Amino acid sequence: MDPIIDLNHITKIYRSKGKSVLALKDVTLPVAKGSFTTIVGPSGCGKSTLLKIIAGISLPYQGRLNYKGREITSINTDVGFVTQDSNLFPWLTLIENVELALKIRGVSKEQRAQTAQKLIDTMQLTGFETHYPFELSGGMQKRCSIIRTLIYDPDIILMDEPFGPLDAQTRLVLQDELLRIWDTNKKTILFVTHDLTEAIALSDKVVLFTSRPGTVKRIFDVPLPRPRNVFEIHNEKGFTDLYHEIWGHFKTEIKV
Amino acid sequence: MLWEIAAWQWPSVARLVSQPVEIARGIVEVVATGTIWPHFDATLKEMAAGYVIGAITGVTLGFLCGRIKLLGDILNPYITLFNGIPKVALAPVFVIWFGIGLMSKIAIIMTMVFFVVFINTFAGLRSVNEDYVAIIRIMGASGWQVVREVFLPATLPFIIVGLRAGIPFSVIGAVVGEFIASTKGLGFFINYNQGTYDTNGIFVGVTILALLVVVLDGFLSLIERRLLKWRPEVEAKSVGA
Repeated sequence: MDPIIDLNHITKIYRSKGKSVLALKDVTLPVAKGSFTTIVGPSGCGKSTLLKIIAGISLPYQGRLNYKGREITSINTDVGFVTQDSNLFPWLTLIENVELALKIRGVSKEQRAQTAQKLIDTMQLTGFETHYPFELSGGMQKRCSIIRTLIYDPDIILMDEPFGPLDAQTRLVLQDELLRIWDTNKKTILFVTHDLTEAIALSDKVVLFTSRPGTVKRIFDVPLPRPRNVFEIHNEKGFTDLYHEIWGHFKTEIKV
Repeated sequence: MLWEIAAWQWPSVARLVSQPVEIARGIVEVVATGTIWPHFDATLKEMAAGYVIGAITGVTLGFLCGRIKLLGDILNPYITLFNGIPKVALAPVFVIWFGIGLMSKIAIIMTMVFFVVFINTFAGLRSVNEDYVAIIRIMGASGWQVVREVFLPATLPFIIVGLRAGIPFSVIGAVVGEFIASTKGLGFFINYNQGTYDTNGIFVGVTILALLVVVLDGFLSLIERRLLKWRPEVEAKSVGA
């Protein structure tokens, strides 16, 4: 099957205040349609930059980026982007935040309210529709930021350390919910994290990045059966071996 | 209360600073006889016109300079420079340019209100979270939709701070303009009473002005609470002025 995203020798240089910083160097990575791929790597290795390039908000870049057979030269509105901070619009209520993408796309009021309500119900946010973001807990804000992306049915969801700021329990619950969503609609997910356990628990493939300038060091297949139980993933047969294998390569990137 | 008691105690002082009961009586009198109305009316008209023009140009230019980087880079040094000038000092020039009537006061007020609204609007735009812009652009928003859904609501708290700060400025502008040259207005009324050594009359005028500011600010604060109910607390701070 053709990959939905095909990154070929992507190199990204930032220029700021007369200095050039090489953020990504020669990244080649195919992402299969419907797969769950995780990128792990030391902080500052350019993993977030890669997501931004795919979303078309970090232009220009060198190399070839094939997205469903076309090059990315402007904002890519086929993707959904979930940032590390929830980044809900503080002036909109929960349901207005969820509806936003449909409002922009000119969907009628009744229809977008109906679609939003369905998603709100599946994420157990019922009853909080008219609350403003400051009245919601971090976990609720995160759920809301995920469904406001799901609502416009993007081909690919790019997630940039989405569960980073959450506490350990909420994280597990949201990982579990994310996997359930992914199991039902089989979206392509490209997920950035620096948490190796999270990476293995969620994905089909773990892509290990080197420290800056970031490039693909190695790609690991995760053969653990699905559906997975993220709460007990440590006890899954094969988890420990895989964890140690990836960690063996990961730690050499962290030590200076 | 203390003021009132002190005035009873030392009548000579009372002649200089008047006393609350006398001021209240004076206000009732000028309102009842209607002598204050032409003055009140004139000042209010100057303020309304100057304030509205200043606010609209301030918001518009603040928006343009905040969003169009080149324009902001070109205009900003000049605006900072002009903002450094005490606007009150320009009042005599405006009187020469526009005469002693309504126009010169409108020009003074407009100038003062413009800067405080402009600077706040501009600061608001520069503080917009770029992540919001990226997120909504990825959702497929057009340029105009980004303005309507992100820039406007995100800047609104700052604009309102500027508008609230502009109210006392419009009163100052009106009074200064009327002090310099005028035939009516509350500033003229105060100046006239000074000429006749009527302290109480001065305080009557000052009190009416203060009440006017309180009422207008209360009105704006009501609008603010309506529009900004999404905020846990007021966090935007006024800058410049």
